Amino acid sequence: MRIKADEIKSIIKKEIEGYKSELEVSEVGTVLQVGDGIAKLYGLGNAMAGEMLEFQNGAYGIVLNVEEDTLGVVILGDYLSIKEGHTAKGLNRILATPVGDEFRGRVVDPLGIPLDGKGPIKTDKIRPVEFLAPGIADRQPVNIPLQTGIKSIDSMTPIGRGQRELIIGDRKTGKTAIAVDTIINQKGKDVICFYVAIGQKASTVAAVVEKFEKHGAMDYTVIVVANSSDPAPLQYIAPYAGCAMAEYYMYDENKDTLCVYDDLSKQANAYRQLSLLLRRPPGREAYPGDIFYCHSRLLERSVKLSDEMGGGSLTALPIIETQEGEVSAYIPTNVISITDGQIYLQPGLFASGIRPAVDVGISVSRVGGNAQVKSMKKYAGSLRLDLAQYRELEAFAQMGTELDAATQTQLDRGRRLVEILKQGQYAPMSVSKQIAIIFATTEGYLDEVSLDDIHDFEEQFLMSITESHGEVMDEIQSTGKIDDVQGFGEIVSDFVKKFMSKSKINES
Amino acid sequence: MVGSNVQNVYASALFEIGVDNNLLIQFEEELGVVSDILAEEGDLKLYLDSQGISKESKKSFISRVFSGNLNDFLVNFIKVTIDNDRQHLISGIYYSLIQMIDVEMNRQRVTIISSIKLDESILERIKDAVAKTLAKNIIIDELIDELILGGIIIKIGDLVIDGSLAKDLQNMKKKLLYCKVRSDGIYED
Repeated sequence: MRIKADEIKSIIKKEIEGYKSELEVSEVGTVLQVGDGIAKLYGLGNAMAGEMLEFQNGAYGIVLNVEEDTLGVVILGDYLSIKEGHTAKGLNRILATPVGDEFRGRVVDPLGIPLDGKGPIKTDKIRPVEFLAPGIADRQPVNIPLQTGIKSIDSMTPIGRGQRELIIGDRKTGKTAIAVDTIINQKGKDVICFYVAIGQKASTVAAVVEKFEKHGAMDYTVIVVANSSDPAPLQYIAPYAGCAMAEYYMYDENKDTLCVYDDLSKQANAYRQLSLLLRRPPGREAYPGDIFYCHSRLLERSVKLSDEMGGGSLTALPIIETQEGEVSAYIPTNVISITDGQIYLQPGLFASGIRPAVDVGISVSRVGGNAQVKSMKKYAGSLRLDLAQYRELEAFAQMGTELDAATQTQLDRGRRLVEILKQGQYAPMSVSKQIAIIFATTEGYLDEVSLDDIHDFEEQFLMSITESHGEVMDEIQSTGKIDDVQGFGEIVSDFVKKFMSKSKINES
Repeated sequence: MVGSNVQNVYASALFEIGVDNNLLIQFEEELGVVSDILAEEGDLKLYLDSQGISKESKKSFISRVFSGNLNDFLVNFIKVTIDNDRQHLISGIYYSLIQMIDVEMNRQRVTIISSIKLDESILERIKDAVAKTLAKNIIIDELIDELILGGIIIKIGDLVIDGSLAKDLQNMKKKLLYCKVRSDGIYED
């Protein structure tokens, strides 16, 4: 580290010379009781709900309960060194977090303090953590796609910029993987990504950071972390803080942003903890009465801004973990009803090798269809129905009855579709490639390829088509349309023939 | 410290008696003495709080000790608290009573913290200044705390006017830590 001693000396000298002693007038309260991250304060008669306090030891707090002559305060930070009789100063402002472009590529806590050891973050801009969602006039319908790079999602549950799409499923079904792949796929697409990790193991977060670094995603990503070892209030405000940092890009820089909240069930647990400790009455599953509002006001901040407002957007991908597939539990039903659709992940599918384990039948996207690229809409439009019919027939076929040719074809087509929708982790795919392979499958070009070869076929087909017909692929990528459908069909069938003859040679 | 409902009820009863009989000042002073004795004499508090000793014997003890020294109303008041098992709240009741008397008499307690003993004339000046802005009778409570290094801190209820040297140094430290260094090279590895 290079330290210029002279410069520092001059700064100190300047500070001391220019220092003017000013009277500091503030209102203080006294700690009556403290424990479990909650303090009860006496005094501070003019404190407002949501106001920020500074304790004697430097920790910050938020006033959550204003009672007749006491205040219920949650402490953000070190609450163990706060003792009875300590004072807390009212700061006369609501909780805010530093924001700015300096945060890009950094790992920070919800108060903007860096956790990655890369030095302090110098920014003078702050935004309130709790910010009102834009009204109706400030919005416009979702019309630009946010490509996740995952075939099964981009084709059947497309996500638009400004949409809120829930990722829901049991533990170990690949929820985080979908979010991480989506962020990795935003490379070069001018979308600033925020990954908010709430109540997770530090090791898990470290692994995600490493993956981002490996795939060059940190250049446009900010990671906001409240680990499971952090106080509950910090976990509670983490998604709001992440959202505030994203709002800076959306409102001030008119950029598109993506926020992943991983996961909101842990945030709900943290909020339940502090609500119960604040003696707010428990409701269903012991969650406080305003747990719905807690999530709805967060997700309502996702928006596609109107052109007058600059046209920025904030896409939210909240994640909810269910217990044993119980989607009718309190938090999952709440968040399902708030969001514009959900991607449902099934442990059964995951175990049988269908990864990502998206359950196509119950996953929906309520607004993303408008934002889907034209060709994708055209060729993937029947996918959902085909797969549904396939599942029905599959159940029927298992009974061992003789099948007529038409049914057999439909079954074969279905098997190929399922195979095509499988995709490895950290391997997001561009729209043009997705369209090409889905076109090939739904238009029946793959019917002759044997089921075991599908994976090889996909790989070789995509490689060959980008190499030999790059201009066609570029056109699909930019216009989202296949102009010369017949010509494209010929390209595909030529390759199928080549592939078949090659595999025949291999066999013999 | 915080006025619970029970102490407020007892205090307001005592307060009303005081107003009716014009004994408020005497009550304030004498209950203060009782509250101090209870705080200092642990044994007395233990004796009064003990469940094993009959209320009768506690009451006769109170009569023996305090009759003649204290106003009769106060002696009766202590006996009532013993009857109702509220004797442990006496200091809290005293605190609530003071607050009521402060409001009644338009008084404001002001704490002045300084590093050295202040001159009478300075105190008088501070008192006048505060009295003028608040339009209240000021009761000054002096406190000496060497840790503030210099200057004074004035506490009026929840409001704190901090003009101490310790705060100045603290602020300067913060400013220096967060000030922008012109070249970014300082954090380069």
